[in-house]
Amino acid sequence: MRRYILLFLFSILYIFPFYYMILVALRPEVLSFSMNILPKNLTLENFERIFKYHSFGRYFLNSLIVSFSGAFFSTLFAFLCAYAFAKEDFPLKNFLYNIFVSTLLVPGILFMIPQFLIVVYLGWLNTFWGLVVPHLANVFGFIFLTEYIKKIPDDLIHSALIDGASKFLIIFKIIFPLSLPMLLTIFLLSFQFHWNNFLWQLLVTTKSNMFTIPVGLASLSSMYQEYYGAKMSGATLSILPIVILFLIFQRYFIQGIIRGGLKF
Amino acid sequence: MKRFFPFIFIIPFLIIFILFLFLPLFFSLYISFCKIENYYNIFESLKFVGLNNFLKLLKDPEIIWSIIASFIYGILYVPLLVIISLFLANLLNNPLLKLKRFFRTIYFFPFLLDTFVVGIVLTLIFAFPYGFIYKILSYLKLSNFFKRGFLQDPYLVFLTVSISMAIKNSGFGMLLFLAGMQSIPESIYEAARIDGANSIQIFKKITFPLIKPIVYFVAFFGFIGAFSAFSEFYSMTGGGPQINILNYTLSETSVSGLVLYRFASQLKLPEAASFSFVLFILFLIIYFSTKKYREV
Repeated sequence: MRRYILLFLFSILYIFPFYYMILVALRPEVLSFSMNILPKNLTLENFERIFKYHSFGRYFLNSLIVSFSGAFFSTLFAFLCAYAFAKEDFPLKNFLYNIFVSTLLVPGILFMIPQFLIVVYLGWLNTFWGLVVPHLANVFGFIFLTEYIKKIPDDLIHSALIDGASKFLIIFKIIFPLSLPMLLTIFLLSFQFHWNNFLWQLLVTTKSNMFTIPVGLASLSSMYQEYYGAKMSGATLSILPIVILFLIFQRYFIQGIIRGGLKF
Repeated sequence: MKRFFPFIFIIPFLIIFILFLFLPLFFSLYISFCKIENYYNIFESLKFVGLNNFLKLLKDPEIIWSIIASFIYGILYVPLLVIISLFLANLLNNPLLKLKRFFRTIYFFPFLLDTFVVGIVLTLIFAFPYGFIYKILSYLKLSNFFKRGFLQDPYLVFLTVSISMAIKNSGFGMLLFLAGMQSIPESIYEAARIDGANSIQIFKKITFPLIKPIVYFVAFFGFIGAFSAFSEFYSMTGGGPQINILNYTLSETSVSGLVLYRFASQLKLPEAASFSFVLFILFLIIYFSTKKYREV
C-alpha cells in the first residue's frame, strides 16, 4: 500500500506541471495565477491570440515539415547504411563503424559550431536545408538497425539471390518489411528529436517566417515576460504532436529507448 | 570494383556524416586560429592570428566561469538523475504491482518533451512571487524562508534547475534500470529472502551490483547532457542571477552552452570555434580520465 501511495504522489509531481500548463492556457489572462486547479471559466482567447498575432500556424507547419522530412530521410539513410554494414562486406567497414559510433560519445553541443560554420558557408541560414540536412546522419538509428538487420537469416537472402532477385529488390521486398517495427521506432525517435531540436533551430532561423514552434515560443516568451496565458498556449501546442504520437506508439518509443540503452 | 559496390548504400549517410560531422571539425579548427576582417564576406576575409583567440578566451572571466558553471550543474544534476531514476525503477520493480504500465508511462512522458518547453512551463510554476509553489509556501507560512525566488536566489538556482531537469529526464534512466532489474532471475531474490535479507539489503547487495553497468551508462549520458546544457538555462534563468566573484560581476547560470550560442548568434565564429575546441579538449580529458570507472 505504501508503494502505491508513493507511486501516486510521484505521478502527480510528473503530470501536474503539464495539467497546470493546459489550465493556464485555457484561462483568461487575469486568472493566470488563480490557485483554483479545477477547470472553470475556460476560454480559447489565448490560442486565438497566438494564431492571429504571432502566426503560430506557420511555425507549426514549419516544425511539421522539418520533423517529417528530417525523420523520413534520416531513417532512410540509416536503413540503407545499416543494410550494407549488416549484410555486405566492403573495405574500411570496421574503421567506418568505429568512427560513426565514437561520435555518439561526444556531447552534441560540440558539433554545433562546426555545423553552424558549414551552414553559414553554404548560405543555408533561414532555409529548410539548414534546419534539416545537418542532422540527417542518425548514428543512433544506424546502430539499432544494423543490429536488427544482422538477425535476419542469411538464408532468406540467398534463396532470393538464387531466384534471380537483385540487391535492391532484396532490400525492399525482404529486409524492409522484416525490419519495419524497428524502422518505425527509429522514425518516431527521430521525429521527436527534430521536433525538439530547439537550440539548432534558434541558431539558424532569424526570419520569423522560418521559425519553428519552439523558436516561436522563445520569441513569444521574450515578448510577454509576465503574460503566461499566451506562453502556455504556445507550450501546449508545441507538445501536442509528441503527446499524440507517444500515446499511439508508446510501445515503439519505450522499446527504442531500452534497446538503445542496453546495446551499449 | 565489385568490392566497392555496397558503398552505394552507405553514400547518403556517409556524405552527411563527412560534410556535417567530420569535415566541419577541421574547418572550425582552422577558423579558430583566424580573425574575421570583413563581416560581409566572412569566409574570404579570414586572417590567420595564431593562438590569439584561445588566449583571449582564457583571460575572459565570463568564459572561465561558464565552464565552472557547467561543472556545478553537472555535479548536481548527474547524481540526482541517477538516484531519482533508481528510486522509481525500484518502486516499479515488483511483479505483483498493478498499474505498472500506467505509472511507467507517466514517469517516462516528460523525457520525450522539449527541454525548452518544459523550462517555460516551469517558469510558470516557479514564478515569483505569485507562482504555484510560492502560493503553497505562503499558505504553509514558509514563504519567509524564500525571499528571492527559486530561480532568482544565487544559492538555489542551480539546485532548482538540477532537480527539475533530473525529474524531467529520470524516465530514461528508469526504463533502463527497470529492464536491467527484470533480467535478474527471481530465484536470487528468493534465496536472499529465505536467508532473512530485508529490502534495503537486497537492493544494496543484489540489485545494485548487478545493474552497475547501467548506472554508469546513465551517469555518463547524464554527464553528456549536462555538458550540453543550454535550453534549460535559456528558458528558466536566461543566465541570471548576477553574482560577484573576486570582484567580477558574472551571470551565475551562464553555462558554456549559453556562451557558445551567444558567440554563434552574433556571428563571432572564430571565438565560438575556439571555445568549442577548448570544451572538446576538456571533455576528452574527462572522458579518458574516467574511463577505468566505466569499464566493468
